[in-house]
Amino acid sequence: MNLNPITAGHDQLPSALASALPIQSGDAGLAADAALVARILAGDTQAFAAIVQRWQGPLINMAWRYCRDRGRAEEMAQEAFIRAWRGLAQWRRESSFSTWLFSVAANVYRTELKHIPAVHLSLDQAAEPSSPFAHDAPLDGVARDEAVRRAVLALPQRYREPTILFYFHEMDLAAAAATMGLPEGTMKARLSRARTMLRLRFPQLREQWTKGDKS
Amino acid sequence: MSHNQPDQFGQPSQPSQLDRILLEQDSLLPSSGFAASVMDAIQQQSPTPAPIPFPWKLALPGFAALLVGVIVICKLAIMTIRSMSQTYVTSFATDSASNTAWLWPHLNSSSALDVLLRNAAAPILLTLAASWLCVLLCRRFAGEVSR
Repeated sequence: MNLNPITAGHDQLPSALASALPIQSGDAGLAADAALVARILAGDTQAFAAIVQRWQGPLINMAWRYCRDRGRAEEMAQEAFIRAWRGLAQWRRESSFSTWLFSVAANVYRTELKHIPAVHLSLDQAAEPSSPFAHDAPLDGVARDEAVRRAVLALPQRYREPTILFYFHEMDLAAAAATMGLPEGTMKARLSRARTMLRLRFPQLREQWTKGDKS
Repeated sequence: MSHNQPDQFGQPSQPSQLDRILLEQDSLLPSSGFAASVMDAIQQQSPTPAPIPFPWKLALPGFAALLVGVIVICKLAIMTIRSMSQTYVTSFATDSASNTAWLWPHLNSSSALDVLLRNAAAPILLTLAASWLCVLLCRRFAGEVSR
């Protein structure tokens, strides 16, 4: 499923999710963003409502991946929108509006979580399913998946954020690096380390990976 | 990046189990009032309207006139004070018996303008004229603003 708000075509998405994603995509979306920003900078505050409408889904979902708390995700997304509105004149149009917006949001989320960290366990304390994973055990699978996702939040900060953004951007390394403002090589190294830590924490995934690799 | 392309870590083109788990996450739908609450917050933070700029273009002639008026009044005041002190000294030196001669020492010897300038009447008249000018200017500015 393509969750990338920039590349997602709505025909590929479930209707519920499509309503949370931008109305337009591609060049039309970029032009629409630029036109809206021009109107806002000319003094039309209400034009920002269209920006909010267009990007609220991606920003809330991005925040959700940072904290896994619905209420807090909306608060953080609201703060990100306010920060974007204040700094709209700083968007230089060298990158797309979405890249700039995600970058602003990532800064806000990072700062917010630095002040009040999300409640999570350390990586060693993250729950590990007692039995090996089985594809025919849906409940175990759900619990395991949730444990892995929560374990991402337990990663050290320098590895956590690249992991969150890499998967938020549908494994688009360049987009994740642009959002974080890091070189791609640095992102790649941190991601590699993060994935190694997760596989060490969840040996079943490593075994499964090794089997898949051999086949 | 498509999942079927080789990834950046030298791993197989198909996403691993870890990738699949981290990719397929529940998506939140924004609550119904989210956009409205963001816009409310933004409206509250909107900057207050800029103050009305001072009408320098209209006020400059008035300031120039005021400056000229102040200079003239100062000059007249100095002249009056000098003439009054001279009159005081002269009147006592000559031991004039007449009080009116001390009050109007130059009535007979000077022109009407000189009398006017040497007495306090001139500064008073000029002050009144300047005040009237100020009133006129204020009424004019107030009329333009309210229009």
